[in-house]
Amino acid sequence: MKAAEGLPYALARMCVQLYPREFRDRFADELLQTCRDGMRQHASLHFWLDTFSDLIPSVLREQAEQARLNMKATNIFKGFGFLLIVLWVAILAASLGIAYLGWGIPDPMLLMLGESFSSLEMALFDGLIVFGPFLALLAFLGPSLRVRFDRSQRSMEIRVLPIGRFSALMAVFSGLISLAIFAIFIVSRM
Amino acid sequence: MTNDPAPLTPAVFHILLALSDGDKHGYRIMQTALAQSNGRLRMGPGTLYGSIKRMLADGLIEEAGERPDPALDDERRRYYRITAQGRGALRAEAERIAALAAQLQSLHLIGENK
Repeated sequence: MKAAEGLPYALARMCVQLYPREFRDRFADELLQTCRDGMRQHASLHFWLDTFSDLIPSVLREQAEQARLNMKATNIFKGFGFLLIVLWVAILAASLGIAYLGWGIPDPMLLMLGESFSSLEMALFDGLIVFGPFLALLAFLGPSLRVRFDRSQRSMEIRVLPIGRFSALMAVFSGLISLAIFAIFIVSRM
Repeated sequence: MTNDPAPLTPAVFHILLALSDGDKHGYRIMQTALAQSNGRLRMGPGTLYGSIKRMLADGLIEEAGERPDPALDDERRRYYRITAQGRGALRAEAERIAALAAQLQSLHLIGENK
């Protein structure tokens, strides 16, 4: 930074650093060049007040938009799936620990439902144990599935779009647990 | 239900209008918009580049490949160009404003000397 560009320009540079990284990488140089162009023509307090009163709301707008994009449905689904799997593994580990290792921790079912619970609450808890991993599998795979019906051909096409490594690993993990639960269910019926 | 596109924001409208007669860089767009609006639209760099980001994503403008005079220009400046889609959006907005102006005129709300 040249000394002649002064404190307001240094503040503008700092302000630009507050934009989301993607915006900064693409527009920071241009934006600062525009400030320099303006500074050459109107080096006044009024110019800088106008510039900052525009830059600050703009930073907030771009950050809010970035946050909204990060909160998109795919991430909500992934978060739901992850929560289900973590809860399921924690309940299983705690139950096995209490039953076989003599862990002195509260029973997870009593911890979640309390001492007295209705049959609906009990059914929901059982549902979580039996279907939790399968729901997690759907949550990880669902946003990447594209289903297309072709009425003229009377056909249905299911495509799995590329998914991230984390989602793929979690989907495989959830799928294996679901298969194990399904196998236990079949064997117990035989 | 209508298929009319949503009205453009003042910043987007003036950026498209500024680019309608040739490629321009950011500061030149700001100056042109100020002149077009008779000094009413004082667009700051944050609003300008926020709008440019969205307009690039929507295909209303594109980055111009060549610079008008590279020897005289700072290479940090990028020039922007209106696309066919941007020209269509500008025309639709101009027609919307013209229709609104005609309606206001028929109601004697504008166009009369008081």
